[in-house]
Amino acid sequence: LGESGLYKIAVLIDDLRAEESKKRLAAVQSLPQIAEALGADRTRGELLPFLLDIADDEDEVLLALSEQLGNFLPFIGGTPYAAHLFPPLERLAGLEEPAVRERAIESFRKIIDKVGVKPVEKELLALVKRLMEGEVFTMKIASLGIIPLLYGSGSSSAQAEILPLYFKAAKDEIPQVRRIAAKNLKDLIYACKNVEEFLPLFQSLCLDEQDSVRLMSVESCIALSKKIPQNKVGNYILPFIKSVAEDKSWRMRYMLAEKIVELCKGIESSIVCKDISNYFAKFLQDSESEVRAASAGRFAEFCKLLDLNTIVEKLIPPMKKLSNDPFPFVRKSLAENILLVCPLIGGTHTSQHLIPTFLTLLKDENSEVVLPLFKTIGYMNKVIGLDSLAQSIVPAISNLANDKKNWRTRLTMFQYFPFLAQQTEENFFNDKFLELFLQGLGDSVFAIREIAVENLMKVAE
Amino acid sequence: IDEKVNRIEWLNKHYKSLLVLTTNDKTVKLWKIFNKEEPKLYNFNMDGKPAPESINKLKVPKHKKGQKVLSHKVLKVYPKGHEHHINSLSMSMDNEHFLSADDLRVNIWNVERSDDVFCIVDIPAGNLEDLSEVITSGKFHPIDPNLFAFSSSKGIIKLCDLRLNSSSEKNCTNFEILEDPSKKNFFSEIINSVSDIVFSKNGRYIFSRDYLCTKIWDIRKNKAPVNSLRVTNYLEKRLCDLYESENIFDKFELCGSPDSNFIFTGSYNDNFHIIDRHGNCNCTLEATFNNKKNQMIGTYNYYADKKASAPGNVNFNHKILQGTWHPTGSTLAVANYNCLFLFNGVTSQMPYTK
Repeated sequence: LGESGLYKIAVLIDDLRAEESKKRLAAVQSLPQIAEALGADRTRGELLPFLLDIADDEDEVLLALSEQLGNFLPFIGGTPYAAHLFPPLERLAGLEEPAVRERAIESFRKIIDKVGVKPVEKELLALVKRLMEGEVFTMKIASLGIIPLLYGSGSSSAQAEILPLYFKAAKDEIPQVRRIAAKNLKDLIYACKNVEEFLPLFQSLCLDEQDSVRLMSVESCIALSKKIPQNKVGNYILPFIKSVAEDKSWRMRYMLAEKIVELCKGIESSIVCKDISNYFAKFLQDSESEVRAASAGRFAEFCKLLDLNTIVEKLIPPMKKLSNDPFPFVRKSLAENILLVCPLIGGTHTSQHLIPTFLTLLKDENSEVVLPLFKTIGYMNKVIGLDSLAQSIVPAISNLANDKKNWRTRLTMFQYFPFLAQQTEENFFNDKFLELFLQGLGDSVFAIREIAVENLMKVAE
Repeated sequence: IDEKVNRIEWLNKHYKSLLVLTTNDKTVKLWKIFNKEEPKLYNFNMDGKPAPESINKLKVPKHKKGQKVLSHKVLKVYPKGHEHHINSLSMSMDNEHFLSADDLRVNIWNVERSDDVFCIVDIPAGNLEDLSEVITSGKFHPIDPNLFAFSSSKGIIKLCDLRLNSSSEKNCTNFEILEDPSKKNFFSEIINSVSDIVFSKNGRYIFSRDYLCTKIWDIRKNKAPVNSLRVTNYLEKRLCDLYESENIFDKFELCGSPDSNFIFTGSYNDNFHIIDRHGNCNCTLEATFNNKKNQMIGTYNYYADKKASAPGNVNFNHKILQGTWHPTGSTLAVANYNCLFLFNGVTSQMPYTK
């Protein structure tokens, strides 16, 4: 290091404690240079202890510090000294500000990924225990965040010591602690060898009085469903699904509607068709609009798990009613999904059941509801061909493309023209839409002309 | 925007430092009050000396333990939630959410997220001149994190369950007394406007305050209050004068006692009242500088006793609007003029029958 370099480093070191937070932030972001100048020994012996004490700083500075420490391994002498990074990170992980906590835990993860659990198991275990006994509840939350990092690759004696700590935290009187225990449970389940150990904990978290805790158990259930043997599904997974589907709180039902497809991947198809489809049908008619919209959004994906009969008999009737839902965002969700089902049910059923709904949506007064239909129209085309519907589709498209009131509607329609071109036969497109499309090139709004030109190439292909 | 704080609300004790929410007319802020250690630092590199000559001479500063100083800092700011003046702040018992209310809207926030707000009640504004009903107060239930209530200028209290729907205007239980239209007079709407509501600490009752009375509602029964108790016995006959002087628009607040049996509320003449929930007794006390220490000046008035007399001269400029009870103890803080009066054991002598 030359003289000017030395000067710069000296200033940076002092700036770690400067009055202005901007200077402190810049200094923290230059920690690698400082550490390199000091060398590994002095970094471990002097710099790290010093950093331990700036943990009362502004959030910005602390965030930067948490991040730097995650990448600091090379500057302190590598893997054998990894544990030296833990004291400052432990302090940061237990702080009140959630963003700093999460960054610190992320840095723990980075270090453990590089080093493996074995070299640092003893220190991590002690750390986890200390945090769990911490005077502030945020320390317990930090401990709950670090336990999954340690658990998977830890020795069996470490695992045996950690689990009781985790289970105790899951019954803590403070709801935020229980919530994090519920949230991280899935990581433990994925990493564990014996799923049965976690079932009692899972069940008690499902019954927690706080909505926020119960909500997290949906993800744990997904993890469970992937690891539990099929013959136990009826005992654990199905009752859970039933209780959430009938939960008084709409947020629980919403969460289930969102995640139901993933949840069912671990369940036998016959059970899905027989029991779970009933709940899904109920969601489509739920009293809360958000639940209806979420289930409409998952409609096609869920139908892929079912047989034809179940789809037609149980799900299509409630789905039809959604085309008249009072909320536009629910109808929009339906419009985005309905045509994706055509290939699943075949031509006859599409004509019989989906076409009437499609036509209702086509005439919707809200353009946001109508537009998504054209993005997926190809699915219907493959199954029944559009000629018979041309009489309805063409006026609808031309209305949207010529919408005088809202140029954004015209814009979106022109964005969808390439989809139309792709998904319909050449003759059909040329016949009905080409002229409309070319009109776009002369539109008075610049954005539309731009889109039309961009899409010209795509359409020509 | 006026530089005044409208409301403060403490967070739960589970944190190491004291956390408090405050709000002015438009913005809510979260503050941390803590003992900050000011360490003594030494061994700097550039302390007025020339730069170090070589790497080995680079110094890493050290520190010694220093004094602890009481400091504060703003942890979070929650902007852009309200177009009208914020009148309420209330913390949920789950310690994660709080609500803020203005004339037309009730918002629910997550303490940790300042960028996301959930509007749970939104009264359509329509024409601002024609506003017929505004929200006057909003509170979370002290025990159940799913319930909250808000009151309106039309004298209606609405209890809402967050689990039922994503928007609460239509799905609430209304607590109101349906008045006989023939008994209405010019002042009815003004004096029926609820100025404040509060849940009892045990969560079973809602205490509400309008201009003349305090009403005790059982949350399980919304058709009629358990009790409707006059706070003072001299206001009804003077409504005309009070309208002229605009005193009729004064907003009195109330606070429930830790054991849920008594209600504090203020009135005129430097008086404040401790009223027992069962409607037996109204203890009128004074908060003035005439009080010697350890002495409380006041009278007990029994509701059953119809002969209660009205004071001659009432000073309507000396009004007590605000006061708070200690969450668990027997100390009551009452605000009058620019002072805070602390009373201890106000209820210990009150005649109270279960």
